[in-house]
Amino acid sequence: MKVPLSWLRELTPVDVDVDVLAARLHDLGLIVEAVHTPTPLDHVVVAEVKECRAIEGADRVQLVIVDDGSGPREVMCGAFNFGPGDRVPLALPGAVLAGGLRIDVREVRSLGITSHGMLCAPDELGVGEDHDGILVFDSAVEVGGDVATVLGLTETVIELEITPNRPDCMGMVGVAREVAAAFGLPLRVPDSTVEATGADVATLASVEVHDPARCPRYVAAAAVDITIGPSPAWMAARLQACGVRPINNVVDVTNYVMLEWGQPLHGFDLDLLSGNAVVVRDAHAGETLRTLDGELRTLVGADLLICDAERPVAIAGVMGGEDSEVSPATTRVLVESANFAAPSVMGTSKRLGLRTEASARFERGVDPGVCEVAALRAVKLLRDVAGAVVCAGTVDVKEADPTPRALSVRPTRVNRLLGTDLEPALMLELLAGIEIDSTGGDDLELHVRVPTWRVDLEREIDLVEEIARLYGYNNIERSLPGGRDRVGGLTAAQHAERRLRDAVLAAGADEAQTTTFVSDEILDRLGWTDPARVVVLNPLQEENRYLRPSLVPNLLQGAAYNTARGMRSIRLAEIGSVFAPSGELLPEERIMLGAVFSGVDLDARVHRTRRARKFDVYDMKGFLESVCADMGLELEVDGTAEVGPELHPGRAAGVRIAGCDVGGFGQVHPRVADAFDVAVETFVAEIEIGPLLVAHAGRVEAYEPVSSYPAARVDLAFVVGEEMPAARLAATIRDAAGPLCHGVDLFDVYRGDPLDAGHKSLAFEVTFQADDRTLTDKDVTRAVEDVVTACADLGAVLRS
Amino acid sequence: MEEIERAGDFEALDAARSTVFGRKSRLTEIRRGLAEAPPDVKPVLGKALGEANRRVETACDARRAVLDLAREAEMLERERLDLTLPGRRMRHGHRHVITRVIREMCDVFLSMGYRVASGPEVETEWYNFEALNIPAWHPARSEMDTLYVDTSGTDGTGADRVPDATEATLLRTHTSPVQVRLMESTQPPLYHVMPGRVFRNETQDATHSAQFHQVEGLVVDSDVTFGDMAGTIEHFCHEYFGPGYDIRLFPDFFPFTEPSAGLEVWWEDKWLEIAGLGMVDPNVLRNVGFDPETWQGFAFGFGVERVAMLRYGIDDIRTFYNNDVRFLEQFV
Repeated sequence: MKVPLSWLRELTPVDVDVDVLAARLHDLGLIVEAVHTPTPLDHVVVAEVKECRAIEGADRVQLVIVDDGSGPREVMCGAFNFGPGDRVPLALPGAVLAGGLRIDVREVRSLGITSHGMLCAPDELGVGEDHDGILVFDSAVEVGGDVATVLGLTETVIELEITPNRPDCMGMVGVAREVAAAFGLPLRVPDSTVEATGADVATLASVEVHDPARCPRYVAAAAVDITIGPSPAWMAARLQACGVRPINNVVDVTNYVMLEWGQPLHGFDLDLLSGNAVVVRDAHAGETLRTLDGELRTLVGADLLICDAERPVAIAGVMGGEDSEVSPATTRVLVESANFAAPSVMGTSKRLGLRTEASARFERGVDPGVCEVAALRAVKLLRDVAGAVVCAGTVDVKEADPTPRALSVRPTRVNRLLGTDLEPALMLELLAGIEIDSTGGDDLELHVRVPTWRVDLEREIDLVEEIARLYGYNNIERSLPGGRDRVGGLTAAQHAERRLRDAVLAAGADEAQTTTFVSDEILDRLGWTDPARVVVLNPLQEENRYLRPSLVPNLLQGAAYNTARGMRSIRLAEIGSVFAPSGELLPEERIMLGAVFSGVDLDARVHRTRRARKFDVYDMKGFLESVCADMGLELEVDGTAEVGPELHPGRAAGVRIAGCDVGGFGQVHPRVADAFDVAVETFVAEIEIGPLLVAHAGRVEAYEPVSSYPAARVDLAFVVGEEMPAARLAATIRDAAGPLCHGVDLFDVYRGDPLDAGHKSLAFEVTFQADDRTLTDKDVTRAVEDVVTACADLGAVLRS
Repeated sequence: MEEIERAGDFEALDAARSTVFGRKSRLTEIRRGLAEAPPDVKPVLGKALGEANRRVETACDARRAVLDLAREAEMLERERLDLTLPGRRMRHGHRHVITRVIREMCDVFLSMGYRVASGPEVETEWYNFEALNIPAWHPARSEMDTLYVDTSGTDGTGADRVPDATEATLLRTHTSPVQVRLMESTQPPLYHVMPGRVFRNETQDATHSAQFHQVEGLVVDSDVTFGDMAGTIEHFCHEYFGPGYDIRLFPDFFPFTEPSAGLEVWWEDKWLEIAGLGMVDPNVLRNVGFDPETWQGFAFGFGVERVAMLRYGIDDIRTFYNNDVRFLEQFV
């Protein structure tokens, strides 16, 4: 809502500095988005583009021939967003623009061109930040006109954001009422009394409302003998200052009264209304109407229509129809000043994707008490600016007269909610300022009468808010809640999650946050064809088609993003939700830890070699192991688990933690690496964190005494076939070594001479220790013999 | 003796010592002649010889100690390393700034005796709207462009229908549904913060994102007031941003709170809006079965990205989700 200061002052004599006024409005909840001060823009005029010519030797500027009514003029321009016929702002030599830039005739010798002015972008005129192109006016803007006037820049304008609960402030009168109350000034309501000399409206048109619930009131007024033409300058300037384009005196009057009273009006050409009838009814499904914007709208039963005797002429509260539009030939106008129910207008406006000044007001709720005032104000103005003869009376169809709402509020409730100690008398005084008057009651319960324009005030709590607002939110003393018995803190699971997040960082990965959405395209790249996905029904962009079934796709995307920017070492990990249909109303939502490593380990090259080491699958496994170790848990690899098509079949495995299958890891399939344009050395992991958190939180930690006797260490190397998993051999050694064995650590894997092809040597350090004595050679020798025997059964031969 | 004291290295010292004790040295000669010395001279001569031996050995030891020190110093000098070479460090990852801000904000409230709650990202219309006093026709709904989801598991391609029923499922547009779930499951007093990811159907640009994060707070108790709400949020801002960051409130509108307020913080040289808050609307309390005459409370919600952008001077919201390593590495 744009509030021109001069208009506001006409309604209430507020003379404080605009900054003081703005601050006060803000405190009252009329949120100030901006204060526009007048911009001096002398010598900037509307010009029509006649011709655009390329300049030889310069492809970033063009020569434009424009005419502002004083004859053709050549200017140079660096923008290309317009063409012949467009109307654009032209700064003539001598003009000074918003940024202080002075325009002079400029000769560019190198190109052999002289520029006689400059075409302006919005930011150069002080209207916004846009510098992407030249501002192009509506074709109705008059050539030669002063741009500052056209843009409404000659006024101080306060731009307000009106919250949805304040429809009364969607008009100047409502804003003025707040200002008057705040500064203790009188409110001068615009005059609607008009001497009617024409026929009675009721003899000219009939009004019939089929559904009073959706149209509680319909007021029609009329004016005849109209001369259509441009509005007077004062009215056009005010509309422009409010951001509304002047069209002709009739349309402008309806808009002016809407801005003044917050009541949307519509002017019908009475001679185009078949049967001189207005019928308000539900639309028939499939019925069509071409609206003022030229679009053909197909309607459904839930839409409310204004019809004449034969056909629809307007969509109620949203937009009028083209057929009954006021035209230069119009002489008789029927002014509609109706009240439409918010849900009805909102439903239609949303469904059609058509939001107008009218629908924005009806959606919030318009004062049903203002219909007649606004209708009469409009015909009065038609008399003043269009030479109209005002018809007598109005047709007013309503179920009941709009009456003030009776409400009560308990002062104790106010003070208990606000934490204040306000006197009941002060509460009444605050409310009276905005015409919410006392109707009696006592100090326990105040009875008041809420004027019809405050459609938002329906409950006691609404009055509590009004009292707080008028008293001043910042005048309420600030305190802290009591509660010595209160203990806060994280739950065991929340502590575990923090521990996990820290463990991920400690294991060397950077924490990523990828989007919750995935596209078909990215799932295709992974070879994922499972159709059981959670589908986004109304995404604005195709990338947001599904909710991610896994963290892997977007993490790979993250790796690709970094690879494309020259990053060679990428380690990303994310903890976030993934989604799958569950058969229930809500999908299954699981929190996963995902990771991607790609490229090389740059840290490994320090002091070692000039070449960085490429990541391998053990880096990813080590990452998971480190995270688990940090959580006090052990990770088991399950080589038999099924592996997704995105992974290298020979370099991927499932992962089991605390007895649960939680996910897996592996190298991405070379085709996937290629599809994402990442290094072949790209590795991913994904595990569900729930079981980890439970296992971590439920861990039993008990101290085990450390043996005071020395340990004996024996190195044993076995030759085995390539197919023998190291873990199997290690487990066999561990089992065979008996109770004295304290550890089996693989320290070397060797292939080559003198081993036969297809064989490898696995070397282990086996540690023996007793809690009660120093071990003898005999103890160790016996254990080693058992180990060698057990390994021989597996086909492992001790290397001597 | 002088040779011993001047010996420059161990060889020289050995040589000097040999000169004294060697087979042909004067001292050895004298020792050899001792046997033949007259009995009355023998003890005196023996004693003198012993004394001479000791003096020589003492001098040798002293010299050896000096040479040892020198040799050690020389060896240590040879082992000198260039400590400007990089250290061999364990790589430590970087915390995402969103996670960091969420954790820091929650920590302030945890220190004030709050707990942390969370809820699902896909919600029903009931939890996201209805229970929060936002009926289907409410203008607040059109301001929160909602992404609806089909959770049936069938491929919904081509479906552009937006279900109207309260059973419709959607991506939560705010963390407020967690308030409802919390109140349904837990009796007051409640002092909770609820961080999480939320969604709007917006086309991505520098200031808009289809996803962002909020930290929501809910307090329900028998006597918490608007003044407590303002005091709590002021306390938070002073703790989190610093003592100079004063606050002010202005009347705002949210369907689930009344009175509702916007929060502005004095940021460097101007007031900046950073949160919405208000007293829990009686309808919301009623919807979860709390008697609004018995229980009252307040709620607040911060935009995490907004806070992070202000604190760290980040000017494009997309930066948070690109996961550019050069961005991630700037935060710990």
